[in-house]
Amino acid sequence: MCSKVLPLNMSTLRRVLALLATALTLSLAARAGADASTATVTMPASPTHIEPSPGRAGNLNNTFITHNDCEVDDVISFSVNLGGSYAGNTLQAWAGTGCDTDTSRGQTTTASVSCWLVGQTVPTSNTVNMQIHVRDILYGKTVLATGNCTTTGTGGSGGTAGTSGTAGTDTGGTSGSSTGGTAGTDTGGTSGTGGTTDTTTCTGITTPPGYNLISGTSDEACNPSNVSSTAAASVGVFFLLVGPNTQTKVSSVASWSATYKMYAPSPPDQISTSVGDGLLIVNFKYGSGTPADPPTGYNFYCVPSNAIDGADAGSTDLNCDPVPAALAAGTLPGKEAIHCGSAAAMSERGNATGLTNFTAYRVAVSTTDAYGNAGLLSGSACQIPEPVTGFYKAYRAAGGTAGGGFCSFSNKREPIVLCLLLAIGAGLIVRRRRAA
Amino acid sequence: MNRVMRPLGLLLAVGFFGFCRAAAAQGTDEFGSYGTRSEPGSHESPQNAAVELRFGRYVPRVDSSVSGTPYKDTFGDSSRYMFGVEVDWQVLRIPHFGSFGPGLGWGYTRSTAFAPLTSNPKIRSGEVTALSVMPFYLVGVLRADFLARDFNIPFVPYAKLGLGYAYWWSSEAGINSRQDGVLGRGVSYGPQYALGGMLLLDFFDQQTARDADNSIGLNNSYLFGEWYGSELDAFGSKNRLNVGANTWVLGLAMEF
Repeated sequence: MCSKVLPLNMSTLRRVLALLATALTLSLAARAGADASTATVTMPASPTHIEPSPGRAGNLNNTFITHNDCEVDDVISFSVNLGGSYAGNTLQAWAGTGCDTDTSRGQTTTASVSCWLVGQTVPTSNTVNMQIHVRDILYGKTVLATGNCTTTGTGGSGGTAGTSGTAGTDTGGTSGSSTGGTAGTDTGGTSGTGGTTDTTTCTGITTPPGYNLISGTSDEACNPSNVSSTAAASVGVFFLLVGPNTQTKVSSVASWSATYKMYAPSPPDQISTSVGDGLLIVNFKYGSGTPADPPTGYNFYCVPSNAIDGADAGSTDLNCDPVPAALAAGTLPGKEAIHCGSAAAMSERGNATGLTNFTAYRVAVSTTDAYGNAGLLSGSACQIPEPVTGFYKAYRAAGGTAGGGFCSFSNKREPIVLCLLLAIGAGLIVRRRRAA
Repeated sequence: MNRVMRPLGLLLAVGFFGFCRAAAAQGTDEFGSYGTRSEPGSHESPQNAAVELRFGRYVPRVDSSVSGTPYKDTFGDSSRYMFGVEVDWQVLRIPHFGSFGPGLGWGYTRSTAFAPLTSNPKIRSGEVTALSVMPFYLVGVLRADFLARDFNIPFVPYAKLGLGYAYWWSSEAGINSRQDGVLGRGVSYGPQYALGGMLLLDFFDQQTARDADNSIGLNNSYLFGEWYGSELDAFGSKNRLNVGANTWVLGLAMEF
């Protein structure tokens, strides 16, 4: 029985295999045809920051965009790989949120601009390197976001309602029949008048860009006051291909997400200083509660009185007025402000060091954050450092000669005494071992 | 005040914890069991060491080695305190007397104050000046526990004699002091001695003491008071800062 069935089964198997092979060939051909009409965009590696000096800290996360990145107009280099039928299309880079959909790109009213074009090129090979400036990436988040747009135009007025027809009257008649009244006539109302065309007028910003390329954004993008919150926010960069004569996406989308933060949390609001020797002790505190975004530390900034009002060093007067512009509360430290100290996150006290005795200094405090941003300055306090007599200074003044370090010994009899003691101890140990 | 209360609170907490678990158990030696009365079937673990948690007043004798009073002028007259730990190896048992062996101790104390202005010492600046002292010592410890062992009196007198070796360092505004180009830190050493008495806590709760011995090998626990002296001036050298002290110590001791 098996000898009869087996040839039949082998024949059937051959047919099935032939069908499968045919189907596979057709499938691959179809797939190849599909590839010929669909382009792909991928980003195989993380982008790199090419920041001019002063550069970013080496341990700063690559996906962070800081105030300093913006100030120096950092350039981020993206390497994009193209696949499929990319030739003839345009590679675009959009910054913003959700730029992978056609409707989110090219908007022209500020209220709805979620994406802005930050780079485009017609690719000549399947690997494209695009360099995009940080300020352009932040453009829609800071420059556009700070604008004030109003929409003008009046709506049309409605027409008046028409009058309804009069009801028919029953004229009566012979019993059993009623002729009814005549139907009323609707005279209709008047038509409404059209309103004026809506117009969006924006002040303080560039016109919403639509499909125009954003390039060479000014340092207005870095102004911390253009950011409503000190908290970090996200911004994405999206790479996609559009057709040669259209803004319609014809490829997959590769994206990179970053978080930007323009300045550190708000500063302490209670500042005081006290005297030290060549330094000032800075006490600071949040009287109205710590910020929701806790600082990672504090920086102290000092301005000597001679830089404030021309007073000479050596003055013993508290002559720190007026508050110099470099230390104005609520601003970033000015160039004349000297970074004179720092304190840890959990501290409420620190030293402003490197100061000259008998010179009055005005001192203010700002916060730092994990992004390396400087915070806005607190109010400031004024004080004059002068010499103090610490314990060791008093000890030396009283004739004491000890000190010099843990390993210091005098060249007199001390080493002899110490060595003698050590020798006695060693001898006792040796003796005990021998006895054992 | 916090400088005083924090270590004091810590010591009380440790003492309370130790008392609650208070050990007790009797000891044994070649002459049989000793200490508090044992019950049939109870186990008595070997006893080899003692550990002390120490806390006491500590005012360094700095001013004794110089002509002026720099310590008093800077830090005032108020008491300063030290906490520390001592571990004794009870290597020798003396029949009907007690134990003897070496003890190694460590302590730490820090005096701080706002430094006075040089121009007017009556006015204090905002700059903190500090003297930190970290003494180590190696002493021979003789504990006469025959009262507890032979007479059931819960009191153990003891004596210690040996050498102390202390690190000290001074700072201003959190930075190491330096004056005339000399760094304000160094070492001092010299003789050290103590006399004290220990109150055997096992006496008050013998069952808990037996349980502690059976479970963790804690033979005895004590509260102790000690008069303590050290002359850490390198045997009279003027080139060493005498950071020794003549003071009292309270603490909790446990024998294992």
